[in-house]
Amino acid sequence: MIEFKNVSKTYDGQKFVLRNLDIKIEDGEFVFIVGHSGAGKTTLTKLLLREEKVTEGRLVIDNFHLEKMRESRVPYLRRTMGVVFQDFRLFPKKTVFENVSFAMQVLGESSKLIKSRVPDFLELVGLSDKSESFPSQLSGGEQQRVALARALVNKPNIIIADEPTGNIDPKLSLDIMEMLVRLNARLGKTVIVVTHERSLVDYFQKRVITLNDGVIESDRIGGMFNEEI
Amino acid sequence: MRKYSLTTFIGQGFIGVFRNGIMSTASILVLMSTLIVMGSFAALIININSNLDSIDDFNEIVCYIKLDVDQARVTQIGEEIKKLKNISSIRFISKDQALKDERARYGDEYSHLFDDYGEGANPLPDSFRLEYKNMKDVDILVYQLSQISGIDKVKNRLDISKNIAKLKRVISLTSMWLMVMLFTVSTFVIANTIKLAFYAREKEISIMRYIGATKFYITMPFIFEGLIIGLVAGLVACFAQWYIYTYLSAEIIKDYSIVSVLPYSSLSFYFNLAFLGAGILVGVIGSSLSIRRYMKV
Repeated sequence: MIEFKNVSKTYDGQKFVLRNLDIKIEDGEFVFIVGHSGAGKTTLTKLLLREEKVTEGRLVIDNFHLEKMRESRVPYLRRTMGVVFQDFRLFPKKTVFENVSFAMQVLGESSKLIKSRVPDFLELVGLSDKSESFPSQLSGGEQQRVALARALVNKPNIIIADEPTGNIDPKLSLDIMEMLVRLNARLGKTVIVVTHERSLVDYFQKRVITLNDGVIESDRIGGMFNEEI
Repeated sequence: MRKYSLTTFIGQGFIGVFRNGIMSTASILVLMSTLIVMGSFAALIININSNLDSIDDFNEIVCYIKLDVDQARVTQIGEEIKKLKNISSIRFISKDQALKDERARYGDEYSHLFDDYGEGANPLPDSFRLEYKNMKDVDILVYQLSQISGIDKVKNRLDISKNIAKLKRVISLTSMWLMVMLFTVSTFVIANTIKLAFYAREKEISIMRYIGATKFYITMPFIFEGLIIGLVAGLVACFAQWYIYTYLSAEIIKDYSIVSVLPYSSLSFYFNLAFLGAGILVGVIGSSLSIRRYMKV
């Protein structure tokens, strides 16, 4: 479970980027976080990843209390999440297999387990035949699928996708989003998608939290991208 | 789940060195050059000290015997001197020998100056030339010699010996400071070179952080990378220093026979040890300093 309790964030001590957020995301939920540029979506993602600390309020993810968490615990928090970024963030000098297996190596998993599990996840994202390719040899959609496989390989409970379709064409965007919806439906993963892609949000009819100027403007289940923003 | 293994980190270190070939090569070259500069400087200092050691024969004292002392007493004085501590050698120079030496020193051109100092008119005294073992106790020795009856004057070159010893101390201290400075500067140069290498990999490090890699996990491969770079630079520097030293010492001996140069074999063990040690140390410290700034969560 993820819970924001009266969370505010300021970088300079004066202007609040996020103000008094109260959000509760239950295990297994699928949530879109939407809003225009500067609404606070990126800061919210940074708070979830504990890249930034909350200025006021409480932020709890499972058993981690992020507002008072020690730096040394941050890696362990991040291991409970799989993160997918707009720019994929793959290791350019590692192959597809190595990129995915690296997430397991970080956790100190055995090479036997890595060798048996990574192909399964490459198959899940439809990249079994590309395991020896380097990211530069793949299309944008394929690179995002590698990033997704990497995010999933450690079987995290939470998937955070920050503008996952921002760098890929509409057809592939739909594929990626369908993959996330399937993961949510079949495996019960909590999925949080930060996006500004109106058509995708409207298409899937999931819970939509709309941010505007750092405050929650709306929070609707089966919602649509707010027409007014 | 298993613990991280050392071989994994070493393997990742090697992969890092090869995959970032250009920056690794730059780091190796910078470190190697610095080690050779430090090595050459050390070799120069060692050889200067060695040459100063070899002109250490100023540890000589001359005891002039009074002119009216008979031959039997002169022999006795010799025996008394031999009994003193801190004497390494003793040589008797008779007054006739002293005159002969003086005449030879002035050469044929001025030998007529000594014509008047024939049999019975030789103004030079008998003397003992002796060498001492330890400069520290030389004052005691001079005092003891001056107390022997029949000895007229005791002359020594203690001032020159003391100056040489002082010079050696100054050279040692200066060189030590210069080496420390060179080492410090080298560490920063290497740290900057490695920092440049890491800068290019900032994205890679940030990905590791998002995946949930601990600081330890992120740092270790880079530390091993620095270690490998240091080791390779140290090894290459060992061979380069051997070649440079051997070549230059042959040239110096050829042109300046007065200067003695220590054979490289007598220095190689220490040089190799220092190069490999310093290479690894600088590589590891450089990596640690460079990686630190990327470790903010």
